[in-house]
Amino acid sequence: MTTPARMAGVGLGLFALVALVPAAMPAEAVRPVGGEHAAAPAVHTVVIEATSFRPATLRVRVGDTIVWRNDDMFPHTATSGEAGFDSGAIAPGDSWRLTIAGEAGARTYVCTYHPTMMGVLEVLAAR
Amino acid sequence: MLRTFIVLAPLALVALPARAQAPDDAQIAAIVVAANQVDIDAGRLASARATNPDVKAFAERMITDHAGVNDAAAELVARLGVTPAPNETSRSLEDGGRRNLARLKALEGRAFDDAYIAHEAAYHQQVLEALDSTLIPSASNGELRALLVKVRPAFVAHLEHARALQAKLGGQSR
Repeated sequence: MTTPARMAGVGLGLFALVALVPAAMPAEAVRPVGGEHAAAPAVHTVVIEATSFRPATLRVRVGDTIVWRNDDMFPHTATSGEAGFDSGAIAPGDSWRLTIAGEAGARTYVCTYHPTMMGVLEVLAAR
Repeated sequence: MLRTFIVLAPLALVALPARAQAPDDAQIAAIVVAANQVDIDAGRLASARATNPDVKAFAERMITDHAGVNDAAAELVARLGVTPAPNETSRSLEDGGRRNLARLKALEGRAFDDAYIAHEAAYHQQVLEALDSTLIPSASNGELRALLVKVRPAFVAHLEHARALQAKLGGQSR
């Protein structure tokens, strides 16, 4: 009775090992780019805390959604004059989401309340 | 040269005791609450009395942000079972805040806006120095220290904001 149990253990170990490999690779490397089997748009999270956008620079694709989650102690905004978006006040504990449309290219954004806060979205073409 | 003089004058109003003994967590809690409350009180006066819309908006931002920090600080100290202990530094901050309010209440219009913003710049600079030299290094509870570290960039943002407004208003040199 111990052999199947041990085999199951080995099987699980192998599975875990195999599962770890893609997880350890950069996300972009395992996503099919373009073609008939283009991947679904991704959802990215930017955490707002310590009066900062984290990560400050995020690479996304047209069609992806970005969620700004305010983990700070007071309100912030995610606002881009050039890209034409403005979250308005995001209260502590709240989120605001935006789906990226338009052309590839970089968009910078700021918090209109705190002049030290700036973020960049590096937008690539749609999947 | 002139700019240095202008910045130094309000600094004397908010100077913290330079050689105070390292505060414990209960004292740090009282200092944090006092530092935020002093700026909320100045913000309340300025949001009512400022004439420049940017100065008014800054004052409202100070009320919101510092109240948010104090809410987080109150929640943390309650959870840690720490009772804020008033001390020389917290009392010095409160005294400085009262003197600032008394001085500002005697001013109106452009003179009020200039004096409020100049004091805000000096005040945030002073609190940043206290955070770096005393409060963050002295905090023994990890969560209290983490709160102070998380709050610090807001004081940097407020300082930059106040300095940008000072430049926009033309400072107090006219």
